[in-house]
Amino acid sequence: MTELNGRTKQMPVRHSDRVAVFNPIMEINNLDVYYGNFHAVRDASLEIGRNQITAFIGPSGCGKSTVLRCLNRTNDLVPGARVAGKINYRGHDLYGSEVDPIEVRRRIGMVFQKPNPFPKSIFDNIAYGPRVTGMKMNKTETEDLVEHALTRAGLWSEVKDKLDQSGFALSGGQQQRLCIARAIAVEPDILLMDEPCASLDPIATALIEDLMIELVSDYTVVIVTHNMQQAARVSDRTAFFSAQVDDHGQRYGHLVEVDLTTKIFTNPSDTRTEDYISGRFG
Amino acid sequence: MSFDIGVTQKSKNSESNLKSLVFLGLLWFSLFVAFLFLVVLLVTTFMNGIGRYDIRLFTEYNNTTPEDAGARAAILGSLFVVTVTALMAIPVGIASAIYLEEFADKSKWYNRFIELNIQNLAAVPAILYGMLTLGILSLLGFKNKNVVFGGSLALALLILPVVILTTREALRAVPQEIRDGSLALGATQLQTVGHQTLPAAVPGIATGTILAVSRAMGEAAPLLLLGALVFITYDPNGLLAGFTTMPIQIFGWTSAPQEEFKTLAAAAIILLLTILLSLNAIAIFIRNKFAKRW
Repeated sequence: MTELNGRTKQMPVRHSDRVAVFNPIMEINNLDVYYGNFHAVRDASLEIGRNQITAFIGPSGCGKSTVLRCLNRTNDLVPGARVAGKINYRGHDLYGSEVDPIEVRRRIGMVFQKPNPFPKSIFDNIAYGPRVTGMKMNKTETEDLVEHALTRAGLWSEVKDKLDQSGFALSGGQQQRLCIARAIAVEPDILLMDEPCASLDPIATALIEDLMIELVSDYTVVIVTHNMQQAARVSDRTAFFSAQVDDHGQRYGHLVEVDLTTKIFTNPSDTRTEDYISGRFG
Repeated sequence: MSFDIGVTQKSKNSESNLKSLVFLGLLWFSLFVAFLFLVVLLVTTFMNGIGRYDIRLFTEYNNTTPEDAGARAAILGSLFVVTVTALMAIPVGIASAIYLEEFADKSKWYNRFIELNIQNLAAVPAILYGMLTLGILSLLGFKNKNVVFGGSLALALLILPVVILTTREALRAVPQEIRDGSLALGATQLQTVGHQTLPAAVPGIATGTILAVSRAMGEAAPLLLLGALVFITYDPNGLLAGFTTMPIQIFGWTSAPQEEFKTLAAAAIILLLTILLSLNAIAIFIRNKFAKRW
């Protein structure tokens, strides 16, 4: 806990510094995802860099959210969902038989498209994760943790006087930052964000983007976004997914390329990426 | 030209206005008829029974002379039987609903089969639950079928499908995002149900359960089949003791020849209606007070 309290707010690392060191925390090899008989994503391989922001972009139905949901085994919860291929996380096979998906989700947090605070007080929203994951804490430690998480999510000054109010009493942008704080409270390794700004106004979006850049010094962030400017603004590396149609007329998601964000947006290797970036389709 | 179009449109509008007025009138009339019967019933019962709605109704046991008779055994019997019913039906009902809604794999045929059957059970006539209970009690070797345990079992079986269905509805109304959020933090499915889904569904479950209990309270048919129509002059004193309940007592009194017993029945009806309407009011209050807008 002292380590938690002692941590001072770090200055955000400059974009170029983050890009210079590429140290993969997760390697995805030949990932295939099926929903029942539907082969949704085919043969996706990429690496997620530690303390970097990786953005997944692409048109609707390209499988970017599906791949994201595989990274913390949220897809396990969908009936009929099946995954083939390997995801290597810190030397462990994420889908290995000895791996507990509950533990995976604790280490790899997720923020959803629609802010989803629990129907509880702001305090309990944050304290919930540590409680259920069995962190033994007394009252002061819990209070410190709640303050730390809310501070980290840039929400503390706005809510410190109303911690006992319902999470629903907050605005949409505040709710989303509450969800980020909630995810941070269990001290995850990686934060997955599935279009976290899709339902927010530009000001709230800017706050979340600043927050991501600040958080990436401590966490690894993977974000799915429909907003290409957002990917260009915040991410270090970008993966472009596209929807393809196979010989049988079935649509599937396909990873076209993954590279440094600056390269993807200025000089992509694949013409499909270029078409998408320049707004020729999608 | 434009004038013409204006006229035809106007006449069309007034025609449809007239139609909707007639339709609305019919609806109001139907409502009025239903409401009228209810008012007549309530008023006549009230007029008949109010004279005997006194302290003796609550304190006296049943008696062969109407002046000395009261519904004490029936009132206490109803409370006892319904409490035991609730203790039997509610935990099982809520647990079944949680399993079906949160854990069961809906792609499996047997889970869909169970669901379908529970929906059908909710529509089964009450008397059949009495017959079923009669069979169960015989198998268990009960000589005397008119015991609290038997009555409560029949009523519990009767309201079980209602409890399951309303609990499932309440669980289903909790948004999936709440579950996703909880699971994404590393909570187990059981923790998610216990800490998030179930608490969020409590108002809905409470409403449905209270309505189910009030149904058990007003039910007579399955109990009559167990032979509950007996002369009881003692307070309920155990699961295997004989009992009577308010609907049974009312049924007994209305079939008695003396006019005074009919007055007594009306008085008991006033009490039973008051209890049932209060239960319903509580259910509505809970529903409105805790109505969540996600």
